[in-house]
Amino acid sequence: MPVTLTSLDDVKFTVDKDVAERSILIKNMIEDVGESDSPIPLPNVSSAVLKKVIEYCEHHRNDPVQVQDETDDPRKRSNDIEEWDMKFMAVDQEMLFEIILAANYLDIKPLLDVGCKTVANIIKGKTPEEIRKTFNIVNDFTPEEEAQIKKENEWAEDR
Amino acid sequence: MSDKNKVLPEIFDIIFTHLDTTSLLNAILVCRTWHDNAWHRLWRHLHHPTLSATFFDQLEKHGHRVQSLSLLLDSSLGSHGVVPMELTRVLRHTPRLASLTLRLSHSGSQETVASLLRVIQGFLGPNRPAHNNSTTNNDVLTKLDLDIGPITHEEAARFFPTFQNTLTDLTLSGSVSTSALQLMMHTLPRLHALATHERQSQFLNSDDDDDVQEGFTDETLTALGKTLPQLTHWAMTGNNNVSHAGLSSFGDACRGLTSLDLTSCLNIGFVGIEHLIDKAALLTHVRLDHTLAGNSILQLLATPSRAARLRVLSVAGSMGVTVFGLHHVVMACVNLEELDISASLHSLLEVFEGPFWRCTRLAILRVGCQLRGRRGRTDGHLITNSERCQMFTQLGRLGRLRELSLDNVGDRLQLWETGRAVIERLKWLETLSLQQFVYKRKDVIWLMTQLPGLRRLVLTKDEEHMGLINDLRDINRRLVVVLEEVAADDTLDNSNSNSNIDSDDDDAFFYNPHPMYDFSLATDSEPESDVVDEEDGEDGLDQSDEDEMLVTFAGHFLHHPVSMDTDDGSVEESDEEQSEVYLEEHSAIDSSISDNHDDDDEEETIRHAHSTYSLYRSPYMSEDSQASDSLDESDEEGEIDAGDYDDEPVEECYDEEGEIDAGDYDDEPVEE
Repeated sequence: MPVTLTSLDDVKFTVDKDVAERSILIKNMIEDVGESDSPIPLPNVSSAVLKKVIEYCEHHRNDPVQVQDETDDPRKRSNDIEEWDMKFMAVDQEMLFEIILAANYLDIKPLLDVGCKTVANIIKGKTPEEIRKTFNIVNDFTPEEEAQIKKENEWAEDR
Repeated sequence: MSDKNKVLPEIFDIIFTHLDTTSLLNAILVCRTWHDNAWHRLWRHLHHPTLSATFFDQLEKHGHRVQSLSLLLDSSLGSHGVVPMELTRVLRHTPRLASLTLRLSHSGSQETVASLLRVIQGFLGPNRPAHNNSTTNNDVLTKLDLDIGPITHEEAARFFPTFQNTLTDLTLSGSVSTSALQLMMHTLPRLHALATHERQSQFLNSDDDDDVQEGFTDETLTALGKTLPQLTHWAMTGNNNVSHAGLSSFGDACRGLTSLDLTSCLNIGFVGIEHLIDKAALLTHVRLDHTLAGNSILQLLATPSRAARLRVLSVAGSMGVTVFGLHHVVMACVNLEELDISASLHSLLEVFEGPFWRCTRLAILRVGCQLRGRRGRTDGHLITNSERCQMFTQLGRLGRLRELSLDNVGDRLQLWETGRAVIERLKWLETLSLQQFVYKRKDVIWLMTQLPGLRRLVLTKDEEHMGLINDLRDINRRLVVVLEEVAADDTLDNSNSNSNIDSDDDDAFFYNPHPMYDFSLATDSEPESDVVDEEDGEDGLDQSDEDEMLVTFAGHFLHHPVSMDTDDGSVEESDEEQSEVYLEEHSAIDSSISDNHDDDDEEETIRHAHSTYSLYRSPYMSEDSQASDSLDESDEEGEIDAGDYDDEPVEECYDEEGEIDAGDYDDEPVEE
């Protein structure tokens, strides 16, 4: 049975139930409300982003439920992003963060993970200044603070 | 992230879980928000922290955050008390530790080992000191990796029972007496991962009069299978006792193995390995470097029912492996992520012949010929253009490669002329190793501008190009350039030591999907390398104290310590903090005395490999239909080739290199 979702800007999307239920939020809503024809409002997600999210859910509709990978150690984690996902994530930064926020709000963990991995890959190998430039962040440290932080964490530096 | 306030802390947290320490250190300097969300991650996993005063100050405050700790302690001073005291200083502040890796720069004496074990027992055992005001401590040690010195039966009997109910993952490197192993397996019923990296100790053999047997034997291995049939990860490297009988009966018992490492176990015939692999149908990681493994094992791994499972296959230096077996793997194992066949083939290019490899998910590929003691000696096989193109076409299809080693392939490949367009396209490449390639300054520079993501480049040292380092520094500030000296003795042992050294490097560690296979320090307490240490009185730890210095002690070890004469790694280094291009000079070994001897051995093996090879020609090689599959792409490559390849004389640098080891090499540049 198809489900209708309404975005922030009041655009309606009709998708299959199993696609919509990749979002745990929607899945719970459907369970709570029961079968109903009325559209599900998603007041936090714009239509542009929702379209992307649905595209992701459709591609991954048959994925098995994610096995919780509790490896906390970044060394062990493979930063392996599937090829399709990688292309899917090749969007501008604004969109990337919108997708991450939407995935967080809609509770779509695999999408959230892929988004965060993508951001992590952008950060990797960049100097602080390069990171700031990339994400348009203002350095709000004083030079003294910066020096202090460097000194405090010297021990962790790779040898 | 223009509006960074939008990013919720939990999202920051997920992003930062994917960062390694170096990236985290940069992230915390970005701005306050990032700092506040990221700094505590630095304390989760401590990997070889510098044990400075600042560190201990901080540790007092943040030690309760530490979950895993990897320590490398300098034991060069030789007094028993120092190292256990250092360990105590750290462990007293890490009440929640679940994983400990402890290594000594020099194998400790029995007293040192005993006191280290007691410290671990005291701080990490079930009665460990509680954190802050809580009265009980529920944190337990589940993972332990020790490379500290010989562990005797008595010590084992005292130590292991403490962790009876908690330890699931154990790695022991160095010498462990057979009876201690026996005891260990019976006292640790919850183990699912066990690794023993055996090395003969000097202590047990020379000091003790009674002959204590070390490492696994057929009997203990059989017992291990019976006692711990639930093992999923098992590594036994450097073992010389176990034969196919022990391995077979172990294999009959432990059928749930997913990860196997038998590197350098030279006493096990391929029948034993085959039997084990046949029984262990769930294997995903298989490392059989320098073993007698052969094609039958590769065929087994490539059978349809299990081929898709295989993620890692490493058969470096295993002479029984030929193109025939490898073809089965590259065509069937579609999920393969790491393939190491370096120094196992005597002719590389055939691997790339035939239809396109189906293992396009490869992230790490190490290929390379055996050197057989002399560079430039060919296998009597003239490389044609189409063969070269075929190889580069195949490589070009492996778009996910992060690491590529083409060591010792030689200049016949015409990498710069034919292959550069392909290498350039490997945008994810982080490590590129091109030992024994003749290179020109402009070629390397140009390639580096095409691969901004590259972090590590290994080239053969060439005096003429010393200025190159500075140029590369300008192009890529984070590139580590390793200049490998041409070693006079290019035997099996040499390439083995090479891989060990690599895994000592942090980058390499990062790629290692199974840290239990990381035997980083294997070289350090190797009996042979002890000789080295005495000679130049320095090791990694000493130097690491110097700020911003990166020294990789690269003592190649050989099984013929007699003739070792090692140049230690010397370092040149940039002062600017932000533009660090490290230059590691790996030591060269002039082992001319053992050279002849080695050559003989080698010839033996090669003849063997040759005969195996001619028995099993690749099934694809003669098949025209399949060759035509690749026509389109190789044509494309052919064009590139035709344009570039005649212009540049390849021999230019040959003489330069030849001089470095004059007398050892007969340079025979191959012309077509």
